[in-house]
Amino acid sequence: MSPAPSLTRAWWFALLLGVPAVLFGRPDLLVLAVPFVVHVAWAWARRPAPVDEPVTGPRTAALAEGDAALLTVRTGHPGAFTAVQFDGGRRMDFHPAHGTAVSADGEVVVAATPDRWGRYRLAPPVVAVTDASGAWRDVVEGDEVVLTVRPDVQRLQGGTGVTRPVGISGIHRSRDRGDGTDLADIREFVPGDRLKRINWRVSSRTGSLHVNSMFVERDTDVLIVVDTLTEYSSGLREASTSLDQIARALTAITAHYVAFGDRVAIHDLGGRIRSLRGGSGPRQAQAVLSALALTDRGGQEERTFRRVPHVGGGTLVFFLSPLLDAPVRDELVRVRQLGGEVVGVDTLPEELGRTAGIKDYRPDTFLGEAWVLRRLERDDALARMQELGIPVTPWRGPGSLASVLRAMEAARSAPRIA
Amino acid sequence: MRDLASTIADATHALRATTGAQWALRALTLAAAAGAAALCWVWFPFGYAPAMLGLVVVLGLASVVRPDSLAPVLTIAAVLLWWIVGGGEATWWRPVVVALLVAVFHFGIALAAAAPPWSHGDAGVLRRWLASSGTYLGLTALGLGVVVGAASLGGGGMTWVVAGALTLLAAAVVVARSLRE
Repeated sequence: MSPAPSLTRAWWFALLLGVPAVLFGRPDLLVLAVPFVVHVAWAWARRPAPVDEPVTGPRTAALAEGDAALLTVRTGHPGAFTAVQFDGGRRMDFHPAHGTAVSADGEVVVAATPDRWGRYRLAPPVVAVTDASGAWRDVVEGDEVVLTVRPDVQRLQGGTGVTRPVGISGIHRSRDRGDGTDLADIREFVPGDRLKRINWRVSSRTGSLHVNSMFVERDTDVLIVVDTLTEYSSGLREASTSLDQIARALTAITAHYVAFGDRVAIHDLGGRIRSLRGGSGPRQAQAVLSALALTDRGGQEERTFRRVPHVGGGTLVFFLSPLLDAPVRDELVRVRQLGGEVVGVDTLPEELGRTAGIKDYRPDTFLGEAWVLRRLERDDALARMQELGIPVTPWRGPGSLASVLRAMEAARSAPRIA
Repeated sequence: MRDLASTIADATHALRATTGAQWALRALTLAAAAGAAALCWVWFPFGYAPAMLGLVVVLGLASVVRPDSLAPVLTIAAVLLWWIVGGGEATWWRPVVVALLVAVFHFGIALAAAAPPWSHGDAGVLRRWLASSGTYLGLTALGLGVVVGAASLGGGGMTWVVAGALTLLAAAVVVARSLRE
């Protein structure tokens, strides 16, 4: 280990007091030099070995939201004071507080709790090992720790909102006639009809064979477009950011439609969340959770806009975005023009851009006023989208989309003009 | 000015986040420095003694907030300077008392520098503090006893010169051997 300032101090005071004591014959100075001479002698007699690379474990951990990871740093110097300091940024809670702990048995344990979902890179902790005499110290770095936190899953409330199922077999009633369970019509028998579809009551009344014509049940394709280009936040740590809202909505919508047996695909305009091809079943739900858990929460870098490459006709598209940027709103309209049944989900935090929040900003910056103007401009654009027939509803929890989905289902059974 | 404000803000934040055990360690350390200066005032009063005591307390406070800075050196230097100027004719037990207080301050600062003031330690850390402090103060008391005992034997100035030279020579040999290893 290297000499600590206390050893340097002791060494100099031992010299500065000892030499004059001898030169001028002053035993009182020699007495005053004793604490420093003793410290120097003790330190040199018990000089410890240098500190090797401390071992940090675990290096990676997967957690559920709200869980803590127990991080251990071992230095292999029992008896010495081992002080460890983790820095997790604003979104990490530690126990002990501040991520700093000291131990005398060569092993320090700190509990780290990320405050929400995503991937967190904890910078290598600073590890200071000081020997028992306080005279020798080494300051080294531990290992980087990566924590991945799976988001909580809520289940969407309401219907399916599927108007035109495009799959082969599923549980959404389509407009096509075939081998389904919902009665569509009763018509005269034609060769090729299944005998089990004959409606004997109508046949006996009319005198000719009639069969039940059924609606076919199909599954459908669901595309969830997420906008992670910029993470908007009110600045309060406990408040949800736009990315949090997107994650909540994404998991809820995925769980909802996967349970119906539909194929769910994900496209991220910002590239922060891994895009997923269409898939169904619990495996796809798990893949969505994994993609979210691997999302880096620390990055604020500029992101490239990635347009939706293709939308099949009849695909149910959920467009999750704060809808603040004009190119993103244009993309929403484009997806609609490509043939998707689009539902816009507004993920801008509720408290952002409200007049009541102006006082939370420094008056000389006019940031509060700027946010109010920006929200007004956006709300105006959203109103124009509603006029185009694109429903946009704010995400306020699993029940947010219920009314929109019910309205879409109602539109399915409404008479249409050919 | 902004640097000063920033430094004061950092120090204030550090003081607010300091844990109970670290407070106790730092309070004891500061009390030792103030006690040594107060004894110097009582024993060797002079016109600027209150200012000197205030200086030692301020430097001691800076020392417990920033134990790895130059403040502990200046604190000890102030006390020792006071002693050197006034304590030439003091009775034998007075330098022993001041030396013990200086030892408590010096070692307390060494322990305080081992971890940030806001770090939490378990009972093992407290036990290690007590064990290390006991060892150090015990060895210091032993050393003081040897020096005072040797001084009481008398023997004239040349004895001291030889004793001192031998001590320094022994220390130099120990250090040189350690450096070679």
